[in-house]
Amino acid sequence: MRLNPTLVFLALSSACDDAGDGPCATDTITLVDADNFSFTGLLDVPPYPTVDGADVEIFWDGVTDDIRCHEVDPTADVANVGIVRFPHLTEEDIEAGLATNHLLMSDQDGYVEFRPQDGGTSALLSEFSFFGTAFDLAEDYLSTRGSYLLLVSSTTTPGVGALVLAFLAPTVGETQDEVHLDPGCGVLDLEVDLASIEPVPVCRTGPWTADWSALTLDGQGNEIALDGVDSLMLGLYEDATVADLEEGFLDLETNATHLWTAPVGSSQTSLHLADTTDLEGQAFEGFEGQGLWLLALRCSRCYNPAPLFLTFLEPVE
Amino acid sequence: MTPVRALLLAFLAPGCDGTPSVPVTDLESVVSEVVPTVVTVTWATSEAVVARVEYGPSEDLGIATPWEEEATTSHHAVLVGLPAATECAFRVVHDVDGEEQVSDRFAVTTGALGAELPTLTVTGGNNDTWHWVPFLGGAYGPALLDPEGRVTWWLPENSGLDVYRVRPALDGASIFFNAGSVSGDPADDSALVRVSFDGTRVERIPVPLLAHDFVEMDDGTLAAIVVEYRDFEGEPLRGDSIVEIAPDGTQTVVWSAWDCWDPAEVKGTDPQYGWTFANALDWAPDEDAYYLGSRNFSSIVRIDRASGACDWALGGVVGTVDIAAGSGRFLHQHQFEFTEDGVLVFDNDGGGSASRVLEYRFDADRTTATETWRYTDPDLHTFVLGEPRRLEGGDTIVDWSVGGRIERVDPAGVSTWRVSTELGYAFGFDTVLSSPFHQP
Repeated sequence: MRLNPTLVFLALSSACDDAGDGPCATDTITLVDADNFSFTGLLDVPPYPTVDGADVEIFWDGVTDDIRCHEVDPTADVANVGIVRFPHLTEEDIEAGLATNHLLMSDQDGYVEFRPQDGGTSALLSEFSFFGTAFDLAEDYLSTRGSYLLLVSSTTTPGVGALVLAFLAPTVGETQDEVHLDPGCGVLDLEVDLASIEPVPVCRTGPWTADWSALTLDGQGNEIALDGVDSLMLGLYEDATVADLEEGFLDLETNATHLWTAPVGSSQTSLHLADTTDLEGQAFEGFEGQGLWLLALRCSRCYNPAPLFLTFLEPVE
Repeated sequence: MTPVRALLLAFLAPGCDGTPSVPVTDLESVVSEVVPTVVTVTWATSEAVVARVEYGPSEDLGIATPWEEEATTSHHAVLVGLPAATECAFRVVHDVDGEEQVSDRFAVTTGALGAELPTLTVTGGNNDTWHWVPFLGGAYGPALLDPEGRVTWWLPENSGLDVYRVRPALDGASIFFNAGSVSGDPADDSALVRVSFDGTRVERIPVPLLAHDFVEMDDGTLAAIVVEYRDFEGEPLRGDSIVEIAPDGTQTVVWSAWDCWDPAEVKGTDPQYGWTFANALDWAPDEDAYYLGSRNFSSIVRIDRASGACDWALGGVVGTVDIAAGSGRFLHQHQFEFTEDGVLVFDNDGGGSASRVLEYRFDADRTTATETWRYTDPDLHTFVLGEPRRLEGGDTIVDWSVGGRIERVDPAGVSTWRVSTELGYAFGFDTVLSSPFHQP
């Protein structure tokens, strides 16, 4: 991309937006905190007490659905099983950090992983490793060393594609040396309010630029990490009510009549809607069709599957 | 988008008076399509002058390219270090008979970097250091963090190899990084990679079995740690060597661990990872010597470059310098920095579950090292990598690498600035500079 140099005398100035009032006065759809949905997402990660400082076999053949309650084939869909140790966080702290996407790398002091081959659905902890460093169970898998979060994922990228979460709980005196993981559905308890959203009016004719640089809070009311936004989703839901969307909140992608998405780069805080494309690669051309128009900013590597921002758009003439 | 030249004259002025100036013509700024935070600026002048560009995201600009080496009428500058997706400004500076004349300001908007980059959390402030540092974990590749902890340069390494070290190159126009693997077996397809700042030129120099670290010397020779297997008691044993890559591409083994020590007599810890397990390399130009860290020996060794002799070592199995009683002893250390009269060491395991930085001062004849300073965070353990860097004024940058944190600490041990990665992302080694460009 080449940009024309602009000569600016003495000081930089931005373009004037003196185009009158109303949604059609500008091509920018300015998104603000008041436009956002609200939601609470509580995680209830199951603990699995095990022997302390000794080997344990982990089985994920029972993982037949994920935290979004989507079906899982444990022999085909699991790309990585990771274990993260948090030396100073309780299980409750970790659940809260996962739900709000606020865990830092410096919160952990150890990570090991296992990548299943040939449809395998179990592994011993002694088979886990990272950067060539093996899991020294006698030294590193102890109740005194912290909390152990186990993640079964569909990708090898941290945070992306989490299917199931569990706590391994090495316990002195415990004799259990097998962990049979349960399905993921039910771990995430969502309460979503879409009904309170005041739709953002947008001009029916383009162009349109969504600008979310003014956002400060996510849907949970926490400080929003704008760098976490990695895609924008625009969906049309014909013959659907707001209640229907709340009911199928974890299936917003699959339930859309027509869906357009676009990747969002790091530090990017605006996007032309014409840059979104549907599954066939066709670019968004306009608000054609009747129904609910939904715009969401998503974070694919967040452990919480809810969008960081979600609102309805209301096309007007 | 069609390139358009600015047929504008930019006015240069020495301060605010009206001294005649050399006008800027045919000015063009191009945002890189590969690294969209990099802007290439070209312009012409009617007479030959030496120039540079001052630029930045704020009113005070704050960054400057190096001065051109020779006076010319056709100018070219690459702006590195601008934040992503941000309207920035730049101005041209001419050195006219020893007088700096500045142009008006021009605006340019950078593009967004990859969505795979982690969210960084920055606390504190008043930092002035730049960091060429790779990301590991959720994303792999070389990056540049500005003094505010923003990613201002990023190029994903999609080879499947890790990246441990990034350095701006002597040429002032590119970076080097290593693409290799220290996870398990080293990689046969590892390479030292040179990338132009704008990302459009990539040169991969195959160096099989690369380990963690490399340096570039003043004549452009690269030197890297390379794993070297030899038979020992009927089995291949993993040792290390230093390989130099001359500017013409010639590769030469200039040092081998096998020539300094005998594995029958000198044994380290954790033999499952190999014998010496070298993991850090520095070059001292004044001494023409290498300093090499061996994890499994927990030793830092001085190597005479010309002879390959292991002159002396600090710490661990092959240490020849005594560590004074009461001083901390490092274990499985990674990077280090020699100062005027001592050394800073990133000590991964010597403090138990908390990694730390130890500083020692040598006595006059370098026979004893005495601990003079330490910094630790009881919450952080870095099991691999880690690097300290002492700044002018006495502050220290601590790169906790897989601990996901880079921080600035004052001499009293107070953390004044830190940047932390989200869970799942780590830093490699950290090349700390006072600007985005190479500094001697």
